[in-house]
Amino acid sequence: MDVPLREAPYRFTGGIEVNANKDESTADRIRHTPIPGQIILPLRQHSGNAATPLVSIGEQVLKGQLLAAAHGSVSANIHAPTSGMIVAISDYPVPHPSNLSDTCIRLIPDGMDMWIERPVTERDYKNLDNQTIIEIIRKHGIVGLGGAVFPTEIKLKNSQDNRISANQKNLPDLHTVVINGAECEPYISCDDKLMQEYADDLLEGIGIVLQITGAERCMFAIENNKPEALRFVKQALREYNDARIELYSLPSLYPQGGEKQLIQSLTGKEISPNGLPLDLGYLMLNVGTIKAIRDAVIDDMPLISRVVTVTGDGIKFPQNVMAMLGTPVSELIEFCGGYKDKQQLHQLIMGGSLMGISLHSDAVPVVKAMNCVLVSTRKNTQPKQALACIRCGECAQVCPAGLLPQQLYWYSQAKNYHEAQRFNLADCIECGACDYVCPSHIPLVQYFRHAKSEIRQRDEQIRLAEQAKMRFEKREQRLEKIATQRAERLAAKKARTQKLASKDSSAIDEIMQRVKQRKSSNTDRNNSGDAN
Amino acid sequence: MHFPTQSSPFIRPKNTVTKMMLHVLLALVPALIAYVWYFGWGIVINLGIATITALLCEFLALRLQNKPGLPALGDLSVVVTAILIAFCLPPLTAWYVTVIAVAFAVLLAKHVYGGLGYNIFNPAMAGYVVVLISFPQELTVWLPPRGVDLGLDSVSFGQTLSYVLSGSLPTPASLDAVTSATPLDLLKTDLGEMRTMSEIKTHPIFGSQGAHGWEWINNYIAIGGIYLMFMKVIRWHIPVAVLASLAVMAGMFNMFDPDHYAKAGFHIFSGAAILCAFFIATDPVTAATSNMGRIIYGIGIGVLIYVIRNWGGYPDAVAFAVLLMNMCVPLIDYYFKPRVYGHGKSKTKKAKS
Ligand code: SF4
Ligand code: SF4
Repeated sequence: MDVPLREAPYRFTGGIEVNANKDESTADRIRHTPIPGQIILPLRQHSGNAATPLVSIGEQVLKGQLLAAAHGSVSANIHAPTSGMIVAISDYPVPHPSNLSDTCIRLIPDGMDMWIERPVTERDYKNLDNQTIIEIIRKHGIVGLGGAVFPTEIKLKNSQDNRISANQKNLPDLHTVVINGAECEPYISCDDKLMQEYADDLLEGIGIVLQITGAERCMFAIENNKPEALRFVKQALREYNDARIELYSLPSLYPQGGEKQLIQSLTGKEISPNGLPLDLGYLMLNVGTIKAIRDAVIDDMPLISRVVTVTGDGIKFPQNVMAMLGTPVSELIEFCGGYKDKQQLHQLIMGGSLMGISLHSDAVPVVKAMNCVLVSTRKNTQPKQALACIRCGECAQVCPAGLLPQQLYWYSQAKNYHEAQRFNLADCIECGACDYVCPSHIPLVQYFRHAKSEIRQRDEQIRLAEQAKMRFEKREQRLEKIATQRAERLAAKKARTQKLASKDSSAIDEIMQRVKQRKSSNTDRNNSGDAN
Repeated sequence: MHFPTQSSPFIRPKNTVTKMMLHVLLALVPALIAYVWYFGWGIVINLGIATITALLCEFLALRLQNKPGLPALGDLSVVVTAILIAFCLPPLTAWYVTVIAVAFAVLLAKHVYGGLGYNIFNPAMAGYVVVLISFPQELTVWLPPRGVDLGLDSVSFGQTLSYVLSGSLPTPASLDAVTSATPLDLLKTDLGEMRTMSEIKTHPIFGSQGAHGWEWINNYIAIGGIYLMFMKVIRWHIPVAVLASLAVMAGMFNMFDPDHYAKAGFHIFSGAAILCAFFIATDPVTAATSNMGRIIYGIGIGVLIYVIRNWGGYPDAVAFAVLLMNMCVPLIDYYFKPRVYGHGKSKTKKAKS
């Protein structure tokens, strides 16, 4: 069967062409890094609550053993990437925008890399029911590897719930699974490599997802600057032969890989401001996630390693590596030949050069969210001095959200957050496209982030104030209620005593009357007696 | 190893204000050469005076505000302002007129409002209007374009320079001999004297489309403008809106009464309309920002140019039209916002294949 390669039929609004810089890291195959000297596993590598550690210091653990369990409704399990001894559960620097430390389990590998017992390899998922498969995915700690690190099990479950509640909410059934292989950020090439080298696995993973969701269609979308990935996936698809899976090539335009932009390119539809692709009947998964799902379901493998692109002009041999989670970034960099010229280094970035976060130390470990380690030199990332906005409107031309960044900048700078909100600041996806084209080099995204956090803080304060007010009012009401109750009680008591008193007095009256009566009858009798 | 942290994006922007301004300057070179060819060296002298004045004023303004001189002077925006003024002034303008125009543009129209990016009015046009109002007679006196034989000799560089620097035009007697009115001016006076279009057009100053010489300069300006669009320094919305609305207005009136209203081509090719469409109205600082807003803004300018040229007091109306529309920009920006993703009805475009 020949597999047609379709072009994305629509075009998302805005976007920029950026120099991809991916050739450096795509020359070689993905290489496995050796077992590192130590493993540092943050308890929070996913969106939601930190996992709860299940092991204690000094304990020997095996590869694949559950070390920390998901905690609460949104959270994910964490497993041992290799066998060894737990040496600490304590704070350690983690790769996070705040650059603060967080609780981590630290493990010294014993070098044996011994697996815990695994019931199966090559499990046939076709005989399993959805519940069982989703449970496997949950157990193995799979999260979205495209960057959001949202627990995959919940995404799948929601999509199932959606099938049930779709009709009530007037939403369409989940009909299409979208596989995001766009990878539009410059420098990053881990998904590209994954698609080239594991195309068969990806199709199996898609098979699993199609089975669970019952979707009738899958759109596999890849940017056209990855001809090799397109070729390999196409070839694999020819053998896999599933007519439900359609292959799409997308123009290379940043941020093509954004969830909203990808849906727009493929379907022409837009997701509502607070909505999800699910509202339109789409479920989107990143290729890395699909691979992890496949490994969990078929090979019973928890998520303990991932492909990381180590690149940038500060690295000697840029390449893609398969690294155990918890490997210190410094060891990854050593593995890739080390830093080029320490004098020239400027930034260590997790993620791409447009949306990544800058890290302050290379001691931090590889985490589930880490798709790329980018080391760049001064000449590449030294920010230029910002000039005044000349209102050229270039930022608005490229904004994929259709915003007017110059107005947002104006209002953010003036701390006029009300107007900034009126100009839809909340819809900014922080893609950095506006920043990139601004001829005045205004750090626009920085302003937007700041404004957003200010607004969040203000809203939080308002919320707290309202809560306090409500508490106060409740207390007042309570006090009032107590007061009225007491008053009522008092009144009742008074009434009772009064009643008693009046009862008493009436009794006395009665007695008095009776006495009177008796007196008078006595008199009568006396009188009559007298008469006798 | 430790690294400094900063907020994304971590990519160096490729575009700079200086680069944009350099493109603008480059785009004006062909027109400048044509200008010298048709009208002699006057523009070059004006340009030199204007640029020096502009740089000095900018430096002074920055000094007064305790701002560093370099990034602001280096962005070249002030040079563009100076050059646009020079392009609008007649070739024999006395030096102090140029100096006043530029000084007003830079010091008042630009810096009093806070400098580049904060000014409401197009500085070049504000400066030009000030001298247009203050020296009305001088500003309508042009040399005849080369090739138009009005029975005069052309003016040499030395003569031009001495006219400009002495601050006075040739003596009244020779003044009439050397200079001529601009085509728009001529049209206005002649129409005022109740001549018909066809009679007026017999004057040697008129060329095939607009006016002799002018039309060629305008062609080169348009080429520069298209280059700017191609380089994405400007977008199509404003130039197209200005020229189209001016053409539609002129076309309509011309159809209705060809004896008293000039053709669309004449309106576009004889005055500063093309310069306005590509280089003046497109000044980003003082124009509307959204695409729709820019179209409205451009249409406003085109219509106003036509209205003022025909029924206003000045033969060429570009400066007034631009300044009037500058005032409307906040309103336009307020009402014409692009549709935000996910809000309202989707208008996703089909991909071109
Ligand atoms: S790109 Fe920069 S200079 Fe241009 S309008 Fe936007 S913020 Fe202003
Ligand atoms: S960062 Fe925000 S404002 Fe800038 S282009 Fe992206 S979505 Fe638009």
